[in-house]
Amino acid sequence: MQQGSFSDEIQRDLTADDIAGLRYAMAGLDEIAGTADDYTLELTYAGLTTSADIVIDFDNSQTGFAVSQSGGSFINADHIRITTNTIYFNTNYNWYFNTVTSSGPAPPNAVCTPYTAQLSSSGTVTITASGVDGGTTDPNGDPFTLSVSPSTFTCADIGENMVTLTATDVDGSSTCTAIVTVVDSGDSLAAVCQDITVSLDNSGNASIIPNDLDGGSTVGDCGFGTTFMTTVSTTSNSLQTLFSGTTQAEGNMFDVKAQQDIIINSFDIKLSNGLTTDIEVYFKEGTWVGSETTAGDWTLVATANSITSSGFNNPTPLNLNMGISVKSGNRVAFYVTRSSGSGGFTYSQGTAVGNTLASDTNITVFEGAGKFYPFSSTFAPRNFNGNIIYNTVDPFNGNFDTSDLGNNTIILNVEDNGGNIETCDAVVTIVESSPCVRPPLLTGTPQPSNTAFTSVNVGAWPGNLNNAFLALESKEKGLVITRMASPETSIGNGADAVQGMLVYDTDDQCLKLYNGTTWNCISQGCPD
Amino acid sequence: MMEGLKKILIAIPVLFLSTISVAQFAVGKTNVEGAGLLDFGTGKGLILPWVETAASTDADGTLIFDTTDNKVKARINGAWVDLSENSGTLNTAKANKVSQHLLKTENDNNIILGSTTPSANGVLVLESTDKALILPKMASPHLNMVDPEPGTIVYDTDANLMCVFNGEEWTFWGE
Repeated sequence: MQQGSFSDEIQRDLTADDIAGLRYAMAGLDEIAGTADDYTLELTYAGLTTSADIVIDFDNSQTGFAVSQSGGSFINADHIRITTNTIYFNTNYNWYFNTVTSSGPAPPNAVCTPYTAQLSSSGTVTITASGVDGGTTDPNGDPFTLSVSPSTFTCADIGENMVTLTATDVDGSSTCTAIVTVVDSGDSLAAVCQDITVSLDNSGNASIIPNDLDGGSTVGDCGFGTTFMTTVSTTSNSLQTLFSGTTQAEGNMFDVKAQQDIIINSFDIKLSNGLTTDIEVYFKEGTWVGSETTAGDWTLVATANSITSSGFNNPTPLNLNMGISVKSGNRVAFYVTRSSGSGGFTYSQGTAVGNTLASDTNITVFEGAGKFYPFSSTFAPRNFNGNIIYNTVDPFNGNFDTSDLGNNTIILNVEDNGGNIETCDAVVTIVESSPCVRPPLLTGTPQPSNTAFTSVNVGAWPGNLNNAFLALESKEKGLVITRMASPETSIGNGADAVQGMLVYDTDDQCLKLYNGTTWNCISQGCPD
Repeated sequence: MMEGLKKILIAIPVLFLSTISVAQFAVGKTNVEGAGLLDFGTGKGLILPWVETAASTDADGTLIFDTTDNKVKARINGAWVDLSENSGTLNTAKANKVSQHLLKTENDNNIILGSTTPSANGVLVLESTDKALILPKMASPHLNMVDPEPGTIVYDTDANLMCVFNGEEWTFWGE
């Protein structure tokens, strides 16, 4: 829409198309004024005076319209009028529109979002532009294309990478920068353990590092990763739900979510008085909801035959050793059921499936369902009555002491750059301290000894004694070294003290050795 | 001083009923460091006497190689304390040396360094309240000393440990 850029251009009335254009400009793509996609219509005039008389009339209530001089001062609305068909100018003046523009043409507005790219097992990954597109739009609705550069990553790029997303349409292009985090896929991650035996030191301590347990683990497609150790707590935890239920069927389905890494081993259940029955436990990852009648979704993880009720109001232990590992934050489902007979498996009415039934700091148990066997009729919400017996899996710092003598099972965790973790169990056998002794060197030519003090008759001696500056010989008498009060005081730590000095400290009643820095009562050590 | 001492010992080794009272002694080197009463060079050790009767009357600070159980021992606070972790099993050559030694006749000889009067029973008695034996030094004797004798004591300059040899294996002592 152009109504003459300069004073000598032809002036004309606005046409219907011009008005449509103005309306369009006012209302944007959605044809609703006042929304984010509105155009900006700019009418400017060079040379307008305040005495001009232009009237603008709107055909609706959208009055947010202003006209300014090229210098930016708004023209008094009394001096301009726009009707549905015509902009009227004061004929006393040579009016024209300097420029009439909308904000279009407009390139698309590129918007980025972070993206995580997993390397394939071959160690490469190619991303598409849509992966880092965070909602790119075009102001005037033109179709646009997206491209990203760089788009291919390898092991060398593990971590954060900056990429440029370019959005292009007929009006031009714009760019934004996205962070692509390249991670390992975990496809080639494997934990392989080896059992080791470790001796306590003279202080009764020993320490291992993850590598000590590694029997050839492969850590990720790119060889990156970390290893750490965990242990299963030696004492079991038990989370009780409740024991007040009176409703019966043959089993319960319920979800358990872990707040920290745990191993679920067994359950106590509630059985009718005098009942002896066989129990099966099924397991699946994720919730039971949706799988309550689909046996194929479940794995039979334990059976306990001839379980006799401990009494209606007492927990009946199943004494299982399922060893089901649940990572922190994960939800799993159990289906605990009689595998023969009807009724007798007792539980409570619930409030709503998925409500928290019971929790402690490590796990949460949710309201579930009563079940007829097997995977048959479902009654929900129903609440499992019993205890969940589990152990926590705790970080292990690698330190052992005399309380650990014997076999210890340590879990080696290998984690790749993508956060994938594989584990294996290693048996660490802790044995009593083995004193540090070393055999002598026996090959070569010994040094002769030339000097000796003796209190016995001698023959070829001391020449047949090896490696001594001084050989002492006696059958009854020893070498008596100097005895003194604290050598720290008697000799000090200054120039008088010489590395290798050995005295008997009559205060501390010990052999005291100067190591070049300090005097110390000697204790057993090891050269490596 | 070392040279003079050495000549005496080699020339008339059986005439050791002598009392030497001289300030400082060095063997295998030309000067004594610091407050050393008896100092040694580097590369060899000191062989403790092979004693078959570890006397219960010996003074604290007495060091021996006990041939009854082949251990280096120290008299500490009125008791013999093992410095060797285990009893040494001697090979034939070493066992022969020890048995020949035990056939010899004990004299009442001793040497006192640092005093004119003995205050303790020993073949070598170091007397001083402000001077000390400086152990002979060697880098990693368990790796470098060829065929050491039972009762060898030496300071390991690699590990900063005192090392004692029981005829079969080294035991190490430090802070």
